[in-house]
Amino acid sequence: MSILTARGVVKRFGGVVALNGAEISLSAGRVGGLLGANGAGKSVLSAILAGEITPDEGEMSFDGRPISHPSPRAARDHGIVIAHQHASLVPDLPVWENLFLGAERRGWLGLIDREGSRTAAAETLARLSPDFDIDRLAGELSSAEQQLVEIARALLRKPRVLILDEPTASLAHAEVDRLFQEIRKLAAEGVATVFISHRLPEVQEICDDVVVLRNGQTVGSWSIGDKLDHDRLLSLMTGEAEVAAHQRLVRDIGPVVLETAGLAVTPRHEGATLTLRRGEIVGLAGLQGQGQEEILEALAGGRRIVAGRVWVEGGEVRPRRPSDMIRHGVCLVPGDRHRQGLFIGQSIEENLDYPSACVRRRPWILPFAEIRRRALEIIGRLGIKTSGPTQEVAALSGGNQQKIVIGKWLPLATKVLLLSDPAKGVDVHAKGEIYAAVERLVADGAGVLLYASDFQELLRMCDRVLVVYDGRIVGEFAGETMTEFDLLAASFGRAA
Amino acid sequence: MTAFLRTGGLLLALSIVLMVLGNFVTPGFLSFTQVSTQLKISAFLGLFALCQTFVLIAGGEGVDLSVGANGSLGGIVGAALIQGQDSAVLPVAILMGLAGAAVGTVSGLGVALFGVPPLVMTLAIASIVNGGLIIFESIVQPAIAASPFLAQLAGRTTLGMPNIFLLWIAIGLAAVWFLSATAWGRKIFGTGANAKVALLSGTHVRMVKISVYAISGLIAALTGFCLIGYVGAAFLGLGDAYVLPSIVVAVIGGMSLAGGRGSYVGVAAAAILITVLTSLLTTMQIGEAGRQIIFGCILVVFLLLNRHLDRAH
Amino acid sequence: MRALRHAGLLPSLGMLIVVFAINVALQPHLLTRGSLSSNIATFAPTILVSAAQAIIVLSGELDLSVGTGVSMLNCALATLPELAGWGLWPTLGATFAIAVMAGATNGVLVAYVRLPSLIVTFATSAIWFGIALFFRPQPGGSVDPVFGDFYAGSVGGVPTALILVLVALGLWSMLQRYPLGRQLLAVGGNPVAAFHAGIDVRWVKFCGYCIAWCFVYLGSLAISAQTLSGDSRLGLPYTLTSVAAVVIGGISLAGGRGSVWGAAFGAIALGLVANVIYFAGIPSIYQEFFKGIVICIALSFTFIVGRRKAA
Repeated sequence: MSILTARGVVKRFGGVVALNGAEISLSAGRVGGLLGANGAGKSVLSAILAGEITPDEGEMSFDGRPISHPSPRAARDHGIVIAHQHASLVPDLPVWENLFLGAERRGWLGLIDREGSRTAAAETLARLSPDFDIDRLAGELSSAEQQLVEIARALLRKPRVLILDEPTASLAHAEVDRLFQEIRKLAAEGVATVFISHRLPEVQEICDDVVVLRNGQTVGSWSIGDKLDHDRLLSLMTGEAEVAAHQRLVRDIGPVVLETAGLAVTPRHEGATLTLRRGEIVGLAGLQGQGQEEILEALAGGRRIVAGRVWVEGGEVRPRRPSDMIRHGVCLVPGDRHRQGLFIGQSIEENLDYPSACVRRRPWILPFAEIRRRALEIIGRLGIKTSGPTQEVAALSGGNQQKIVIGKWLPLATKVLLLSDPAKGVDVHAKGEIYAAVERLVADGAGVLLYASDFQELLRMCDRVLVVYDGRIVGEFAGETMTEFDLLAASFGRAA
Repeated sequence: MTAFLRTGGLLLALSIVLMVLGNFVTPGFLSFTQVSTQLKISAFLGLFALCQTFVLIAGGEGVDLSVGANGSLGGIVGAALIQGQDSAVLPVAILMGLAGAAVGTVSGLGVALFGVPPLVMTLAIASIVNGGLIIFESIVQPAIAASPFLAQLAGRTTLGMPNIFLLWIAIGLAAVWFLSATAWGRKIFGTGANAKVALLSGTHVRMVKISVYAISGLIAALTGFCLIGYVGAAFLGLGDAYVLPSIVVAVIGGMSLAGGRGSYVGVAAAAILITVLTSLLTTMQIGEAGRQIIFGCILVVFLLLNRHLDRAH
Repeated sequence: MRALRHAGLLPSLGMLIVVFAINVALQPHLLTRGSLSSNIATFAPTILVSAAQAIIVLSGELDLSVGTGVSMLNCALATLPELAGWGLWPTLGATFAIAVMAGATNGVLVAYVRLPSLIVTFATSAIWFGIALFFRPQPGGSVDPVFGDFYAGSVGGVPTALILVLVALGLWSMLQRYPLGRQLLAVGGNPVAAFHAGIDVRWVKFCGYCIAWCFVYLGSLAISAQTLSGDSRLGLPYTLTSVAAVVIGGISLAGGRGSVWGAAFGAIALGLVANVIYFAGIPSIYQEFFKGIVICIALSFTFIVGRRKAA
């Protein structure tokens, strides 16, 4: 029995068509997976279902009756609730107030019912993560904790339709299990759930049906039992018959280019000790939040080091600020490309030239012709799909944007490239292209230190993988011993 | 770039329309002396707005409420030092520029190192500088007259254009070139567009922020120094009337309050427009009450137009 | 204690205590009822206008027109009796209506038309100044002396001015127990999150301006009861003083963080600083200079403490 249906949905943003006739039908008591490559329109479609965006064309109906004026409030009144991919919380209000924002519990004389709210908040969050402190300010939470709050807020709204946009991206296994339990409980009560994720094993575990979007259109919907394995799903998403297997190139590995001893960013951590050679790709594995991103940031000079030493090509350096480290050839591709990687409002060639402009001593005048030439060169080398170097980076797809973030280091003779989860939230096809771009840098002689939350990526790309636990290296794997099982075991601090 | 030229062109066109209108209302509005006066006042307003331009581009809700105080500093101390002598003008000008830059650097340090919001930091600095000038005036009883050279600079014309107007154009062009064609200018834009990205790409974000406040202080002080040639003598509060209008002019001229975007071309045109508008209102013989209300309403209308144009592109 | 820390009140309260102590040291008879009363009566307008600014800043905006707004309301109070022949109560009512309309105008322009508040309130401040000049081209007019006596007096031993301030701030604290009060903070802290939560961001910001201008109205009552006449230049210093008080009070100019009580403490502290400068025998020409220095020190203190908390 269908609760929420959308048909013929079209949405344009400026010149870009995000949805071009998408449709979806949600049934009570069933969990529907919404799959698609990046840019396929999943987030836009779910935002439309939740009333946050108004479609240009299309009809939606709820319980058989058409919906005419979408707004977050109206959607909520229908019982359509969404938990966003990036938690939307007010940083200076405590967790429990964030949970009830816009749907405050009222008591006597219309005052806010603080006791009742806090009890309900604590109880709901405890089902997802025991011992969660509901009085902490939302701004102090880690991204995993924010994700949990976002989900708890959705649960508290007593949804009839629950939309979860990449809910497990930052969560640990135990938390994912608890979340799935809650989803199954809701399904048993007749709630329709939309589960958007890139993690195919999870989709296969929790979903009853699957809807695949490609280029803004619905390719089709299937029951999960219909012989849907990973490869079939991937080919449906990309439209390719087969996903090409990635070949790891054989490389010449040169002398040691980077070395650390006891590198620590907080007094608690023991510190990381590692070496990296030219032409080598070394991976940082481990559970979320064990200090991998912090190590990379510290090496780039973007985070204060409390202990330890760093050597670049044998000479000791003090990473005090990024400009120092860049001068030594150590460059960072940060995890959040929108907020830390690109000047969203500027053009491709401005973004590509920026680090060079910062390092360049003389002349102080910008050599425009050379900047244009170099931009075209990088666009060609990395295969960036664009209408030209003057195009705004905001108009590019996520994968191409990430190539710009990597490409801006190309002119600087990078010795060490630090990558912080570069392919996060990027679809399969673009992932391959990004890593090909990385390999071109390695071919030029750079050493790469790569952190990826997806172990598969590490296994495909790296010559060696170091497992990080609590800020220190607890295991090193290479060649035959590098399996996902071993990495996972080491991540929990146990030997295989 | 073309978008900004379009804004600037539009604003200039509006200015001309207003001037023609003005001539209908009060004949003689388009006379040579009148237009000359407009251009001179625009030059001063435009220079103070240039201070705001630098500070706004660098982002972080940058704004400089101390341009008036710095202007007064340049005017009062400058007059005191030159003692009416032309020979002293050049060294004193350099000294005033450095003084303004020093004050600006203090503001910049507060903003960049301590994270004080620019609105508040420059407000406090303005208070200190103005207070210091009050003390200076009462203790030292300094000379206040401008020198003949300064009077000529502000008063006379070359080839039919007021000298100060020509100076303004020269400085304006230099500023536009600096911001768009040098590495440091690129870094100012980068810092305003996204300070974190700029930092990770190798920019000394703190240095950049301090530099824009220093530049603002320098230009403000020099402008104040030239201003005494126009008004004849230095007095307390010389620059105060220019503070808020300089911000308004910058915003109407297309500068974004968030930073990272904008061009001085539009700001310069806006300076002319606001000057013409203000003097039109003055000549229209409406009481001050009416003038204020009309000015406020027109400002709101301009903001609405600005928003509309922005959305269209 | 945790709630206080969350509201960032400690720096402003600390500064207030320090300044108060210095003031008492320089002026021992400050601690008499008469002296405290007259101080509160003098500070009340600043406290109320700073509270108004705080409300608007918390919602993520700014209002540079509160100063000329006070002028406009003061001139209305002093002129309407002779202009329209009204008694005290109709005048008070009409002035209140003007205040709410001014707040609503700012509210509509900022919240619904979405013009940047810094510039648009600068524009409306010119309009309020013009209206003030319309009422009173020259200083003059008169406010009913009964009103002045009432304000200068006390009710049950407590100075009227103090009651006025406490009632106003108390009403704000009451509002904080209602959704609208918290939503004002949410809208300032993260407008996108507020929108996704189903809050009508525009309505909330609009309400913020209207409520704030009720405080501006009370502030204009407080000052008019003291001067008993109208002057269009009366309110000009209040704008920047209110912003300084807000910042000293630990309220983030970005919105969403802080408490209106902090602005009140900041306003009192600024008032006491003026006292300190006077009683320390510093010649009046130095006053402006020292006020600026003190504001700088207070700000550095507030921000260093804030930094350490964030780190």
